[in-house]
Amino acid sequence: MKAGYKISLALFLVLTVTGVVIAYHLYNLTSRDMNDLKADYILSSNELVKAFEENESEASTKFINKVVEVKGEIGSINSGENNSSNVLLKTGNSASAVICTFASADDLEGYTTGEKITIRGECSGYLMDVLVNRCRVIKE
Amino acid sequence: MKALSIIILCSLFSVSSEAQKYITKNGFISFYSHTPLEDIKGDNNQVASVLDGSTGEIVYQVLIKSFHFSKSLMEEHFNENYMESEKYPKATFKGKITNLSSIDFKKPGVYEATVEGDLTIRDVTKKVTSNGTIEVLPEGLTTKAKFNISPEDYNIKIPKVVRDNIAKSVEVTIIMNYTIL
Repeated sequence: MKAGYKISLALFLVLTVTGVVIAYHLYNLTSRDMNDLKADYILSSNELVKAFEENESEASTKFINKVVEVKGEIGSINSGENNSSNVLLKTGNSASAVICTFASADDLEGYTTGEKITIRGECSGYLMDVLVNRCRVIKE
Repeated sequence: MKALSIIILCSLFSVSSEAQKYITKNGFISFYSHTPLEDIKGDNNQVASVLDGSTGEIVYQVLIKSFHFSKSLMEEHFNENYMESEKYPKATFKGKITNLSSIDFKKPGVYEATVEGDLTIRDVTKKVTSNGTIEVLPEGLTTKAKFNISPEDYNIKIPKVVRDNIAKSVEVTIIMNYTIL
């Protein structure tokens, strides 16, 4: 009886500690790094914008929250707040681009306007442009 | 002859006084919720905005999904439970500078500005007024503003268990670097 009590107490403690550790771990999880993820869709900036222009709701279901790997020509690079950086990828439509936000400008070192680039990120949707977040440059 | 030169002068003046339109697609909006239990901060670097210097009209548009957090669980709760970003993907603000006459868009410098307008989040529209600054630069504008909004005003339901983790009043920071349209 006494041994049984000890075992259940030990079991209870182990479960509680494990629970707390898991909860703490989940609470502190940071977002996924694009370097560790496979792209759901690989396409050009032109194709991505066209998909949203032709049918926004269909493209939203297909691309939002998905990992996209977008190839295109750099139209501009703008530095933002907290060392972030936005790369605007040109498309066939001068009014509509793919805007890719990088958490750190360091990732873009050496890249300039006019160059071809491949960027992997998470598609957030369509405003005037297609917006992609958590971006990483993919070196070929 | 004198009359003619006055007319020419006037027409020149009217052309040059025609204020510019400004645009950005890389604007920054951040919100900050502070409680003794937890600080929550979400950043959005993909704000689209147009400012019309002649009428004082300002429009902002953001995707809710473009707000990012240090912890992925916060982001998940923000999108799925509070903002329901699949149902309400965008938030917009349409407003006007109320002291337009005191801002000279042709003269570089920092001007105090007050903006009043309608903020729409989750299809709920509320009047918002904010003070801020407009810095006129040779190549565009930098605008900055800070104001508070209450999640309750936009029908954001916060479960009892986390009510103490989320502030009743959330601070919104806006920093825009506009270029001339």
